[in-house]
Amino acid sequence: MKKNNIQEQLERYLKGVMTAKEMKQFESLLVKDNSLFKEIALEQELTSVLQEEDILDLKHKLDALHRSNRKTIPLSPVIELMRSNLKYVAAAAGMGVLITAGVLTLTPRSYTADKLFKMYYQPDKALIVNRSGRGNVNIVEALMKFQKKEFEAASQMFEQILAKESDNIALRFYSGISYIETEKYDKAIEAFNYIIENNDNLYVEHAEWYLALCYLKQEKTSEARIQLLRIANEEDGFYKADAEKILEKLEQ
Amino acid sequence: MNKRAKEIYSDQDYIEGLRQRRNVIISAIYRNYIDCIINLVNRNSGTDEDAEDLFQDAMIIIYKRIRNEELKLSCSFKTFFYSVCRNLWLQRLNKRQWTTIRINDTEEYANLSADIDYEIVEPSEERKRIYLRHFSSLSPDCQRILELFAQGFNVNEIAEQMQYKSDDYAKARKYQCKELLKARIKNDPLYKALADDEEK
Repeated sequence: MKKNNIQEQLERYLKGVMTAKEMKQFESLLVKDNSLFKEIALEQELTSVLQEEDILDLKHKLDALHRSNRKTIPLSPVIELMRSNLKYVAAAAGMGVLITAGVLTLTPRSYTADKLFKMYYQPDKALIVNRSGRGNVNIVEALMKFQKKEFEAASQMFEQILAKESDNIALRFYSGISYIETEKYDKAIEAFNYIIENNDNLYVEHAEWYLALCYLKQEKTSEARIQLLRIANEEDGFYKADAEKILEKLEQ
Repeated sequence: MNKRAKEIYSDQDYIEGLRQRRNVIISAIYRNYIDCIINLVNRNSGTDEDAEDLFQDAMIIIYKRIRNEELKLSCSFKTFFYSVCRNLWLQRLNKRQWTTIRINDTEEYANLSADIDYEIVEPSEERKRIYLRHFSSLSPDCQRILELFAQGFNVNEIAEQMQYKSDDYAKARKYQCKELLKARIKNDPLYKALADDEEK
């Protein structure tokens, strides 16, 4: 049985929506397969935890505190170099958010993708994180399209490259920005989430910020709030001040 | 909030504020107690990160008792808080090292009632704390989608709320998030230790 099929069966079993025949078949599997039995127990406990809305609310608040208290880990000289350059990106990105009379209006085109590109795409530095970048004509071509603001074409090329090199985080980031530019916010969210979930990379902080902007643009205020809290509580975060300002406005 | 605020909250303020999950009270408890919990954990074979987890877990245990009207303090809130952390840490050290541990105390502690001690050592409660910890490590959209599913929203409603283009995408995303969460849980050393205990 495929993994996602098992997951679906588990959920249907626990919800009690199986037919008598399905249930009999599933239970005969359960008797034979101890690991499936453990999966059921995990699924059941996990669901009960996720149903406690008040506990989750408290947990979100505690996480925000935890993040603000987290000690700064010393960075390698290469990352320090990247960080010093990225401050300009932060300034440019900060200008992308306008808040007027209680209505939050995102202007994604004003964060100057061109400037962003220039900050990121400096071959020496781009190659630090892009193992396969050197000599890959497609990547260079896609990035050239990005630089020329041909975002539709760029994102198509990024998609093709990422289909073969899914772990290229740098390209994943550019593709996210291209999706914002072409107003494909779902895809942008997907790209930034991928970067965040592959936690240990140079783009996480920026992906977190653009993810928050995408949520705001889509008016998913609950997700945006969680995301902005994470950013606001990041010690010395590039986007900390902007995130705090938006959170204040969201509270009003 | 400045440091002078340390003085202004009574134990009752803490209890009422925690009942309502007020940010200002949660922050005050954190600010006032985290150092002593870090001290406790550092002096007893743990890291700052362990102390942060311990602090959060103790807050949730105490919140649940307040919510369920089961909290009866026979000592100060601080002593009670420290004692919950102490017993939780003792339990985790036992899980890590398989030996009886003597805690090197940094504060006064109280003997906890049997029911709260039961909650601390009960494996199913400890597993729930592990689930919450890993749930927090997911991206906000993963957290949200799993919350919505657990709360009984159907795929169609979730796709609409999350503004996904199709029900299939919502379903796939939920599957992805659930798998990621379960993988992290299953790799947790404490989760593995609890599972091993149960098989003995």
